[in-house]
Amino acid sequence: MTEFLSWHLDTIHIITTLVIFIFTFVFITTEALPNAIAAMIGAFLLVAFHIVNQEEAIDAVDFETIGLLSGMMMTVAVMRKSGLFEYIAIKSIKLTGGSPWRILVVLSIVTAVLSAFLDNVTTVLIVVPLTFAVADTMKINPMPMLISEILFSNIGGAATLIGDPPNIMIGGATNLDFMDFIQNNTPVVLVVSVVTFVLLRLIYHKKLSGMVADKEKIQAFDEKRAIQNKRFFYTTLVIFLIIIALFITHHLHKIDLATLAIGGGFTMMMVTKQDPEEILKEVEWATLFFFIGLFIIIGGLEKTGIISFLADKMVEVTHGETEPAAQLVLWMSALSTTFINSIPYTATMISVIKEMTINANQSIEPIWWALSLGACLGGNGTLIGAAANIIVAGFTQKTPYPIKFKEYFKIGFPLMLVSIVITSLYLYVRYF
Amino acid sequence: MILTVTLNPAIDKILILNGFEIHKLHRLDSREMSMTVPGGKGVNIALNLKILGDDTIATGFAGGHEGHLLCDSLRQNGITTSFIFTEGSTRTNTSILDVQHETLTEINDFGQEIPEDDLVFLLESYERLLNRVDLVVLAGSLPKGVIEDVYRQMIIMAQGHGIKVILHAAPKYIDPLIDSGPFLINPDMRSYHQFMGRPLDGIDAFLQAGREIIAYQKETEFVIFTHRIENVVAVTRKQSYILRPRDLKIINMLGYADAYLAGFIHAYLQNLPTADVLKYASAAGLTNIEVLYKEIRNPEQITANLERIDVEEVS
Amino acid sequence: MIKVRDYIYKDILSVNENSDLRRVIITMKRHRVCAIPVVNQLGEYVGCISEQDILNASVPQYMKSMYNTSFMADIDHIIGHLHDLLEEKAIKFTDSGYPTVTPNDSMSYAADLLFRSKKTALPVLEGKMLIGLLTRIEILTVSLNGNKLS
Repeated sequence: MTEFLSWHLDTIHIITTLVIFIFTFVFITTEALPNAIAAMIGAFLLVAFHIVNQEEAIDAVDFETIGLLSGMMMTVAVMRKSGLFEYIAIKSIKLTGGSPWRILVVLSIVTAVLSAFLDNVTTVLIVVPLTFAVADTMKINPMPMLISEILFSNIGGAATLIGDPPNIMIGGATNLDFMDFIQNNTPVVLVVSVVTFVLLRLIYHKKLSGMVADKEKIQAFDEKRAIQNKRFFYTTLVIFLIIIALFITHHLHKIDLATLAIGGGFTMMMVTKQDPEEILKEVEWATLFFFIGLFIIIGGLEKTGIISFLADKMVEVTHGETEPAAQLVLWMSALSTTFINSIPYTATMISVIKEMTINANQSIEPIWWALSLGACLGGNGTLIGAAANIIVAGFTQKTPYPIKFKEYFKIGFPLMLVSIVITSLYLYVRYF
Repeated sequence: MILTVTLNPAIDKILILNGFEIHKLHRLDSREMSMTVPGGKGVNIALNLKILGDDTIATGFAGGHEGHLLCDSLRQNGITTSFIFTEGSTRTNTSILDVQHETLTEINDFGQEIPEDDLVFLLESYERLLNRVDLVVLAGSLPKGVIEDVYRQMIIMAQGHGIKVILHAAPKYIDPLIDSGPFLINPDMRSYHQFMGRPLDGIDAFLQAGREIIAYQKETEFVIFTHRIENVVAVTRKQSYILRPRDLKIINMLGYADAYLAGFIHAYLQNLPTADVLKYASAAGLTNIEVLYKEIRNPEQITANLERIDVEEVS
Repeated sequence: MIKVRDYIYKDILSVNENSDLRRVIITMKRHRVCAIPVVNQLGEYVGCISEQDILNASVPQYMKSMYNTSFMADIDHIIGHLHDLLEEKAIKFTDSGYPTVTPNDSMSYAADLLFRSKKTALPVLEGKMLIGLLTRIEILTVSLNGNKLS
């Protein structure tokens, strides 16, 4: 009798969990509810229905991810005030002498590098207004630059562990550390960047050389004034470099990244005498709760065995071989994250991959890289592929140059496919 | 609520002296006075109306510091202002009243030139103000740059809202407008004795002219000649009146007609019978003329002065 | 209770919602007011434009998104942008939610309203009819023991 009941209970749990998961996913994708609310209510329901208990829920939340995210948010909040990023961007722009193509390249590189170390949204919030300012001053159309910036925010973000949420989550779930990401992702990111530039040049060559630009006006930008307080500027820069150095040397000191990030953030606040209340207001609590809610829901999927089921299916399809699995994961991730939010997707996939039983003599690592690169680069496919894309598009809506879905798709999707092809080849050559 | 339109207002600098001589330096002593007050026919009428207790909005053109002085002063007297400010300054009119020799010397400046956009802006504003007033007074000269047609436009706009228009200006401004049928016509003939294309003086001539206008125009109900104070001639649709003040003591003639019209409006809005309205108007004028100031300072005196006005009715 | 009624700045000059911005700025400058009421064809109050509202519209959106714009100090963006807006209609810049008072409101209420909204003058309305403005300095002078300064 109890067996019968428990079987029924299990089924009910499974169905309930699936329903909650699907609803949450739909709400997030259609933006019917704000992300944090959808995820947390979903999580709450899972616990309320006793599918997971509170302890298990808390266990499911990956502190490494949450800690790293919040620590970096705090650190960046302080650094933004110094004008460091604007300084870098403006200085670089002035060095180009004002030719539109060069400006596109420079701003894209700045976007990529910043994306690699900061989150993509903050990066575009810094670079996009500057792009408009440059375009307004030189009286040129900023569209090519903006589209390139979207592409490189996602490309750059793929390069490091801290560059994009999928990487942070993978780092938290596995023992891959900062240097591992650099060694595996950065090379392909560089190749993809070069190819993307070449293709962009082909696409925009006519448009850009046809632009009559008021080049000297750029020189009137005074980057030194972006720095209001030299001491503050250097202090934040130094502390940031120390934090990155500590990330890189993780294998030596073994301090986890989340601890480093949070510690670094508060140290920065202390040394620069910032009011913690002010800085903590800049932390995106909604985003953090979004992650927390998702982790709990995934925990529910794990506990009810749904994840195992999916994992087994994937192993079946790929016969337990890493290579096809990696390629499958790569393409699936890229095409999925083009349309849906990469965070819930990655959270789910991480659980699935962990459960995949691979043939003994093969490493599961390439599959992680496939997930990482696919989820990050896939964001380039459409305007809704990543939060940063939406923000850039939003900025343009009220200007004479609004970026529309179709327009971006014609450029973003093909370029994304190219980048995945390159990645696919890379994975093959490097690992197989 | 009454709207007064003064397109060419002024700052009146009024000097009251005991003996004025040309080509001489005068230093005012304690018995003498100097006043800097807002001026212009419509402005004066507004000031008088407010003293009599009627709410008024004053509009027109103004400019520069003088313009602000004009408007500040009006507001201080409780009048709501809505002047359009233009380039240049509101003109200054100088009046020298010689108490000893009983002479009044006036030197009037000509005022700013008004660009077309500002006139358009004024007419827009005027049209909107018509929605909230019951009576309009168009008074005074037209400034440079303003097309002569403007009073006609304003009369027609007001009539479109069913609002009565009182017109008080020099004959040259009124002549072309007679056919537009303002409710009340009061030509200012103190310095120019020609009206309707011919010289006009004397009671009979005034009566004649008034009757012609009324016969010609269905909407005009009053034609009043006020500049010969001893015999004010008022022609109405039904009959004519001659009003004479007894024991007239002229102290300061400045602002007589403006006080008269304010009195007229005040009494008319109380729906008094015509003869009483005209009597009240004359009493108001009388009260004004027997005091140094150009506006009525002692409104209680008007009722007392009513009995000093003789009214003669003419068919 | 001290009421707004006794402190109204009785000038009702307004601009039509279809007037251009050039006319709005000229009027505000010549009239020496920092906010001008906007009315429709019937003379009914529809909102107010303050100097700040015009400035707000002149600053390009991207400058508002930046944390610090001093690196752009030597470039004429704001004035240039404003110059491009001069032909636009007043209604575009009108704040229809601009706070207003009635003659019966207390001066203290008006003071609080001005403080919170950070405006410098409030239109005084009776129904939809504008009857004047209440300026910030007037509210401050109320404290001078009722001695009305000119």
